[in-house]
Amino acid sequence: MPPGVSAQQWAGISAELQARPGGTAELQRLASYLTWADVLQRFRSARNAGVPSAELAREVEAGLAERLRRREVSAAEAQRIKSAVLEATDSDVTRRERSLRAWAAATLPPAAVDARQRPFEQRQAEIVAAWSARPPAARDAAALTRELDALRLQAFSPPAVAQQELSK
Amino acid sequence: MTPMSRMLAALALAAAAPLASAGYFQWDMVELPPESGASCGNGTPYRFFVNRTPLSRDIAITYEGGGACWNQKACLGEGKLGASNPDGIPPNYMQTLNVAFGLVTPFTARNDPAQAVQTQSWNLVFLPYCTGDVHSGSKLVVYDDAYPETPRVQHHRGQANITAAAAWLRANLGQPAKMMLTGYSAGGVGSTVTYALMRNTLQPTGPATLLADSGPLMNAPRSGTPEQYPSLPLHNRIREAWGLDTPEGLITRFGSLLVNFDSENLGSVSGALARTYPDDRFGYMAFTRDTNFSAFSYEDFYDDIGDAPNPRAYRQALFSRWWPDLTAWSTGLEAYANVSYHRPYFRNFNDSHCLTIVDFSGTGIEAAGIDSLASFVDNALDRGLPMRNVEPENSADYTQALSPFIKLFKLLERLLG
Repeated sequence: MPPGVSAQQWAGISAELQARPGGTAELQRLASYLTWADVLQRFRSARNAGVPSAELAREVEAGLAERLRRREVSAAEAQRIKSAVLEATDSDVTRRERSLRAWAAATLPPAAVDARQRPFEQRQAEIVAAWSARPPAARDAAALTRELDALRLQAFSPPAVAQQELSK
Repeated sequence: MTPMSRMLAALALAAAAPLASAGYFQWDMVELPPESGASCGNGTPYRFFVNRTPLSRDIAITYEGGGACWNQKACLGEGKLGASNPDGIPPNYMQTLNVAFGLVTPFTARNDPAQAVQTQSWNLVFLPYCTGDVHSGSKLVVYDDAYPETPRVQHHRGQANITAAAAWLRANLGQPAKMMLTGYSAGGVGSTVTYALMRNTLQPTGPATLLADSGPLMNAPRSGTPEQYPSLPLHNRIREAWGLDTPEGLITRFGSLLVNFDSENLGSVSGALARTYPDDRFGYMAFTRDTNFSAFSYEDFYDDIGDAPNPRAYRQALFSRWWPDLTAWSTGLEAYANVSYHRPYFRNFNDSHCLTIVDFSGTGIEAAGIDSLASFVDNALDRGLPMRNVEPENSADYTQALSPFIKLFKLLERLLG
């Protein structure tokens, strides 16, 4: 049983997940995450008590890439964690900053592009340009709203499904 | 919306990103369907993020901040006060750093390495900001004041986004126990003005709390003058620009949701919330020397600010409005037994704007024995006696030590421009 959950809680989670396809793997993921989160909490407590632990820092760091890949931490969270880890493991401020920037550049992905966006924006710009070219008295804001809503429906329905894990 | 389109929207929402596909302790993206009316400012889908836990039924919802707009340049994100995310919210928003500056708050970090807050063990929801309307608008506007050849169409759809996100959360996460809404800057305003909407949809069975950071809605009755109520020109401008008074607009809706809300005074919302939900707790925060929200509030509307010959004169012109507004706002809040506020003097970070970004260092009021905002947050969540904290002018704030994370943030900001 991973740290941070009671036996009863873990039994409930297990029962729920094992009824799903891929439940066993999901349960393993949760156990791995909770174990790492517990290390992080102990690292935080030690750090806030003024006795940062390099050993705990290294344990946190060892799991960080996997946590990020699985979307269990956000990029902002990961950057703070990496920064705290470096603070506990490297006394040279300049080197820490360099390491952090290198880590961010190597680890964090650029913004994903929705393939539907560009054609939509192109068509929207055409509609708005045509609307703007009319004399002011002939510009019907409600009609423009309806036209763009119809375009949005056409372009973006159905919605994209939840994002997949970041590729390795 | 017609009854039929409302029904279609509800069906589409129920089908969007169903619960069974989501994982615990992961940031899952939810894309709201266009049928719901939800949209980013550029017309692309509104996306928000959920991090669920099987260990709690409590929910903490954070509204992102980042500017506001009522002209073309600001809606394109240009200038220091421009609206954030003019190109929409990418599906992997939480996993990228180019937008992460706005995301750094202990309320959206389940695993913060330094700042612990009790809501980190709750279900977490992050509502990004991409409409330039403090999450409140209901109007489509074509802006061509800066670049007439390439007009910007702005879908001010903040209210539809929050409405649809609330419906999704209720349908997919169920009725929460405790509920906390929070937000910073534009998100501070947004979480305040849509509190009733979110609360009435989620219907939490336990205590409900608002912690609104650096987005005060100042008292400004329309029967008054800008000399009496400096925020009045801003309020008048945004009401028109964002369609707040339209039949589907936020003010029209507030009239039916909030007890004694005065539709002629946006500043009456805080009191109306306190009256409507007497068992809820409302906590408001702002720095006395905030030169960002004050700039939003007055810069476009008073020539002596825009024309100030030097930074000192600029600040003087800002504060000649901001401080009376702040004082009247705080005094007004004291009428309600379920309202707290926390006003430290200065933090040498982000123009003293926002207390809850990065972490809580530099948010204490030392003379009152308050180390940081953390005790204010716990007090509100744990239902302690309401706190009314105001730090008098304190030059020590100018040189106070801030956390390594804030120093790092400032460094990266310099490096990245």
